[in-house]
Amino acid sequence: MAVRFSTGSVSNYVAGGCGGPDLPDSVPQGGAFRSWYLLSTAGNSVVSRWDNGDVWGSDFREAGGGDLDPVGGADAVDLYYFSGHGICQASPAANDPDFLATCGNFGKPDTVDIGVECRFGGGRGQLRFLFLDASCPMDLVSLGRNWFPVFQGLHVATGHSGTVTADCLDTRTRGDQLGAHTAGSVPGFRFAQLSIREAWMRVGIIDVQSGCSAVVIAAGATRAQAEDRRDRERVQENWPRPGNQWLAWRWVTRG
Amino acid sequence: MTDGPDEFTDRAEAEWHHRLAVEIFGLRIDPGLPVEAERNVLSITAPDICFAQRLDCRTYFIQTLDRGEERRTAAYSGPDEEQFAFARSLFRRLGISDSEIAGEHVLREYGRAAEIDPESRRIVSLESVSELGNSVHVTRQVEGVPVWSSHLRVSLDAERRIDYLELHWPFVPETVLREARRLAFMVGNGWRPPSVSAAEIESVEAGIVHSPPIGYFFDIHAAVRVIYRPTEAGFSRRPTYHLDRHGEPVRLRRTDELIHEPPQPSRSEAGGTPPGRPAGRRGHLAMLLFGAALMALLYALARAAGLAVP
Repeated sequence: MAVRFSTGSVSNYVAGGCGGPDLPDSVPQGGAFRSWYLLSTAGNSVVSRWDNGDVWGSDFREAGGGDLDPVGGADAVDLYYFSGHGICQASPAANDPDFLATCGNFGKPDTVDIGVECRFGGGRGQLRFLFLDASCPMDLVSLGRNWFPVFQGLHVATGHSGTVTADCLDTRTRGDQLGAHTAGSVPGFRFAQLSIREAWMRVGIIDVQSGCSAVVIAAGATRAQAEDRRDRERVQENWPRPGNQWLAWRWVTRG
Repeated sequence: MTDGPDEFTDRAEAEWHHRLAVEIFGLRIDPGLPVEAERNVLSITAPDICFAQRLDCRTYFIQTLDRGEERRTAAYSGPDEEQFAFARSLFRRLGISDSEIAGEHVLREYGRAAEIDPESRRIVSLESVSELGNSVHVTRQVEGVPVWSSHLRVSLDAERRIDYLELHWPFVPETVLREARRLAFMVGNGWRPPSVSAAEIESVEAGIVHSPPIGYFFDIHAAVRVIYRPTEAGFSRRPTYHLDRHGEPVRLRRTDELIHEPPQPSRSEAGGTPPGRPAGRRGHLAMLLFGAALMALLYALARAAGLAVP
């Protein structure tokens, strides 16, 4: 099954006055991810592919309807891939927020508090798969605050859990290989099409510091359904909209 | 692995691929199954497993196909040492020296679930953490030089069969190794990486970088890897550069070079501004034109009604 997807990648932070540093591989990483989805014979289509200042914090916010923006909103597509900064804590606690950090020319503020501002897949929202390649957007200790409210129809999300000293490095490879494993049938590597969990547990620990974890989380009406989606759902399979009474997550930590 | 005058025929290539699967990786694959060549990959697909190798570098893949419920619950649970020994036996059969092993770890996958109150989204019940699987991760060095992009990831099932494997261990040309040693010397003797705004140098190391396992290109370079630590509070993702002796980024070709994406205007030019958001440049222009037209209409109406307007 083909998916409609968007990518949002931010390399430039310093010039936009958003702090920093810049992440030179972030935009190319988004391009590499996208390329596999376009090479795939599944027939996937790009809805938007904004970079740098054209990725807006409002693209991820429910309030104001920015997440439904047809030309960039994360909740307006089947799948959204983000690469850029997040914010890690030195020692995250259960009530600490998780963030995405953009550096947009509109749609301020740039920092998105995931647990407070993001609600995906509910109402007119369509998002089924959210892949975040940022710093600590999915800290294990605070999933209850930050991720349980997000699932309003969203199927599966991926991200990292870590600290300021156990973070992911800026790289092109992680997004590239995640795309290769999840895009649908790609010539030569048809065997390598995996469930989201299998893909992320393998590639999520590429170019990360010791102690950083790759995390996948999914929703379901029952525990068994949530675990089944967490472990087996693939992007290309047209699984129905899940209930969200249960959430199941899985992680692997780089040694 | 093939001898004789026909060693470059399709049949010889297929036999070679089958023999690798059976003799090196211990797979039980019907010898009659066809070997498919597509792009830079050779593969055999059996009902329950696929074995593939890249044709342009020493890279092998084993992917167990879905065995249903049984597969999902049958993770290997033996001692770590047994997995390390299994990995080392693979290396020996492939002619790879143990001295190339830089590090080996067992990566454990854990899982947990929680029931959520649908209204408040608060936790009703939180299940305990379970170990759900594990795999061996081996990193590489060549004569003490790190090869950051190489790895072995292998996972065994409860019966000690390979559940999946990705062995990405390309041959390193002597020239690349020599340049990596040269870079290590330079790093140890005053070579300075470029400075980066809002970050300071965290580590500088010479080594070897190459293309990832799934891809249509293979490039390999000696490089200095410079990891920068952000200096501003909040951000912690490390910019990471792979540089040549001149401080220029080394280049690995990527699949996106095969895709033609037309240049796109900036988002403000493209329009599509959602409710509640400041309009883009095109939106501003439309609003100005609309405002001007409205003013002109009101002015004309006022004049027609005989009102005194300037």
